[in-house]
Amino acid sequence: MEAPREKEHLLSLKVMRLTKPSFVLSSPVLCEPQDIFARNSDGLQDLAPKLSAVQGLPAASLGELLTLPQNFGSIYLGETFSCYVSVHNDSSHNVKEILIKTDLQTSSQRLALSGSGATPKSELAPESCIDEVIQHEVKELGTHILVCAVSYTTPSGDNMYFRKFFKFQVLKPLDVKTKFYSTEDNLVHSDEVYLEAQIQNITQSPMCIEKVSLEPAPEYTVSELNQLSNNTNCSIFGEITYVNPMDTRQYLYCLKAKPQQGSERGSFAKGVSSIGKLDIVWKTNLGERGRLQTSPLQRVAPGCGDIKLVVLRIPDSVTLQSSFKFLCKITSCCERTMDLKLNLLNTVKGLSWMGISGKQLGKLGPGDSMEIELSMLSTTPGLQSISGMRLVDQNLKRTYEHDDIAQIFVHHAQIAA
Amino acid sequence: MEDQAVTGLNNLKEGEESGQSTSGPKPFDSSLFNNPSQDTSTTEFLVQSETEGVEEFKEGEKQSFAVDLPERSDNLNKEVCHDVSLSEEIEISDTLEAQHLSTKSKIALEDGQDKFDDKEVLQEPQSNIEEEPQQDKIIHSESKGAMNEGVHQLVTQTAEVIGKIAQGSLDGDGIYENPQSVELSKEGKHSNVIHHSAVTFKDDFSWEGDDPFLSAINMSEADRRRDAWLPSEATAKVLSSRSAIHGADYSSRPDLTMPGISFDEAQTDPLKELLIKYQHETEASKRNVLTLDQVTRDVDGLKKLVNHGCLRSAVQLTGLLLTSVGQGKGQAGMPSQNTAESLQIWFIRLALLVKLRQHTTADLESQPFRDLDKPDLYYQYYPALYPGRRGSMVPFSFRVLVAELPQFIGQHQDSMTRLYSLLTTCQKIVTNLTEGFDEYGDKCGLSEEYLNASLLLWKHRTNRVQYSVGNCLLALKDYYQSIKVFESLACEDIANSQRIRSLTGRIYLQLGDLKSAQELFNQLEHESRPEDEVGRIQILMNKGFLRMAQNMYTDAHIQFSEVLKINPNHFTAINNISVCLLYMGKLKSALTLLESLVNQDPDKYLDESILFNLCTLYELESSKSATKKQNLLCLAAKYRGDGFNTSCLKIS
Repeated sequence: MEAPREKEHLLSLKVMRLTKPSFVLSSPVLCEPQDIFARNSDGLQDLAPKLSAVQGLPAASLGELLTLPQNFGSIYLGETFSCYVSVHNDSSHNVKEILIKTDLQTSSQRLALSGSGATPKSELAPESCIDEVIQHEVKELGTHILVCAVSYTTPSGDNMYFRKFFKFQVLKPLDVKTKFYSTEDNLVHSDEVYLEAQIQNITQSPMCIEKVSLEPAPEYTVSELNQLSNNTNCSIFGEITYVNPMDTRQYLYCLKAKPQQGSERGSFAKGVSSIGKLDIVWKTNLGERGRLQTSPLQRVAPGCGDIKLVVLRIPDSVTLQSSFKFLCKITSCCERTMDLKLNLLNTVKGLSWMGISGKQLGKLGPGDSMEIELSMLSTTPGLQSISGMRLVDQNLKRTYEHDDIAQIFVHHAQIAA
Repeated sequence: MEDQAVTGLNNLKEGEESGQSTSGPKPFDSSLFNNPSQDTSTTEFLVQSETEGVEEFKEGEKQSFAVDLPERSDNLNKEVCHDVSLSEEIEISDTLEAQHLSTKSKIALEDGQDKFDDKEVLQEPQSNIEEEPQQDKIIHSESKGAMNEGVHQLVTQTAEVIGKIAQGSLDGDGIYENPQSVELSKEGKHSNVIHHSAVTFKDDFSWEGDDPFLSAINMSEADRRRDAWLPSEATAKVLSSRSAIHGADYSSRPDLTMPGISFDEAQTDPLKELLIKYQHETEASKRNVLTLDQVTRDVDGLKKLVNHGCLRSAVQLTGLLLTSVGQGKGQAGMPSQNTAESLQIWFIRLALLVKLRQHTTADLESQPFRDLDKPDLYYQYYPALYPGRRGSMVPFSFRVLVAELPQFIGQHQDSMTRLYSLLTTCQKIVTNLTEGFDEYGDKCGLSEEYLNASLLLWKHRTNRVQYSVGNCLLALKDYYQSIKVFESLACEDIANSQRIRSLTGRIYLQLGDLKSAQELFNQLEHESRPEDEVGRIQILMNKGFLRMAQNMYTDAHIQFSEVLKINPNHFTAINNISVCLLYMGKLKSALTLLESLVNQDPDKYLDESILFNLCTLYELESSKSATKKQNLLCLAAKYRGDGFNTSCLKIS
């Protein structure tokens, strides 16, 4: 059973990863008192009862008996690697000066877990052992090697030494995707940014995500939008407290820039800036805990181009085959004066433009804006998107395409009634 | 072994000493979540996720037969029917006349040279078999052989009534059991030989007080509610058409359930095998375990084997019993007579296979039963044999088991469908009874007492199916739905409310929702009464589990130890303390505790879950674990039957 090199040693080293224990699952097969197999006349009985069955609840499969981990299992980044190291004296002699040292070798570094600088245990009697439970929060992905070194002195005075290696892989538990949304009312100098974080469970077991918080960079304040109301602790995720494998949860945060000196409102930096980081805490099987922090989330301030188009007013819904109007605001973001012409193209089905295409809008200076009202006719029920607006700068002969400006719901008349 | 194994002595992979550190990949950047863009950005790692090993299950091969049996029209002698119904009448009149009288009806299946044990044979029926001409001679002869069997089981029935003094024929405690035993006069031989067999039915009565008539009525009422089942529309149609044909007993194949066992070989005793493998010949020869040859080949023998944990021998015995009624190996798909007794044997057989984790076999053998709704499984199908009797011959437990089976081979959705179909029928019956009708929704003059008793039974059965649904959802890891089911059960099954809610709490813990678990456990503690000992233990256990989940093993240890102050023999608490001790770094204490538990009463505590923990601790303790595990093996060989699951000993 043992490797030959170990036979030569008086001590043996055993290591076991301590994942959490679990409840024994049984498969009850019950008889009714009238079945020919029933042992007695009251209640349901198992055909071949096991000790793991719940007393008084023979039909339940999940028992109260705990069972030790059966295999190494998977270990994920952010979890705590916990293992039992036991050095046993297999010989019939007293062994002296025993020192156990454990290190963890990752792809980038070597971490001392225990035993470094410790004083050796002076003596170990036959059949006794030295036990240690080692814990280490895993902070790196990939291959890890647990190195256990044992040194001791034999009764004859020889100094002995042996090592054992245990290799395991650290896997990625979560997939995090982030998305920034800027508010539209203040285009050039927005002071509010929304962050959507999609957190996907890529482990193989359900995961109870306890906390996902955004720790903002110093220049911002954050409010979490993941509760139904600010007063209660009611999560928007409802009663289901866990995330199944491959399922994703979305968290939303509103970031506000802190007012800067000399100005009433704060503003978000243009270009690339760091917004803050996400702190995620989860638990799995019987409270196995994991925690991860993302690296700082980078936001690229949206470039708005030469022209910004914002819809100021539009009805939510409209009946089929009727016309509706909506109001747009066109803002110049460039440093030159533009001479604009509006072309309307019927690019998609469902909505048709009403009015003249090729209308002259006139000149628009730097930073200026104008409001225009446009009409459309609905032709198909459903959620329709407004597209096909083309603004042409006649000075530079440049066309700015504006599609999917807004959505409107088109329905039959009787629904409204 | 150590290099490649995740199992083995250590649950850690042990690596080679050759240098991995220098040539390893470049260090991973610790900035793991980089999301610099405005758009959705994905964090990327080079992580190979291990795909979970998906077990492959072979689909049970459908038995196909080259020979298709010709349609038969068996004309059962009308006098038989008369006799059978007469025998029923006699039962009642007998019990009316004599107080201590029990009725025993015996149906024997014999070939030409029958020897009846009993003298008062009233009638032997004749059978007329018509065969369609066969083109192929070989096929013809085969089909004839096969058919003869079927015909014999179907037709050669003799009803006999024996009056006996009740005390003489009552079993031990006098509990009514119907029908009680299936006996074999001879073992079934080869498939071409017509079996020499006798199936004996014994109807034993027990009664309280001195009114046998009343007890006979009560009994049939108990039968009635127990057997009640709502057939599907198609089946109901067949059944109603059969009740119009009085006496005739011809069968059409679509109506028939035609099961057959898939193997009849003896299974080896795994304990003995291991003993021999590890050269404990003396122990092996000393192993004194009940075998098939030491028991009577009937239900009593079967019970004995199961009670001694000899599940493998018991499976073999069920095989023999089923072969004797024409449902032996290779006989699936051939007509045979299903009786309440044969279905009970089937139930036990499949149950044993599940217990032995031979799930694929169990699933294969359960296929012919489908949803247990073929007309021939209803008493109404045999108006001559069971005049006026209504309901299904299928034990309810068998329905539940067959519904649960697919999940054991990974087809949880099939199980869910079947379980919900059971649930629907149970709920329909409960509704019928609640509205004052009988189980079938008919108006009939049944006593209030009967209706209440039946309502209670069917509510219990509804709950039982719900437990199975909850278990199946749990196996599917659909924790949310599972918790919902158990929560609703806690409201239905008031007596077990605390236990069920604790179970829900454990599900929360298992999935990692400590907060919900804690809330629930606190609530339970709040509601508990200090004088309730069982309740106090439950509260302590719950606390212990919560502490474990919070990594507070010392605290958990304290909670479980408190349990022992109330009940020093609480083996679950002892086992859990041992687990805590390991996580606290006290391997030796953990070992001593479990070892002493097992040695204190091996007969009771040589349980697979406990032995698994003990062997895991042995492996961690020293290099002598192999010897220690073999000692356990010898101990198990002394106390355990051939149904023992040796995998828990971790001797490979």
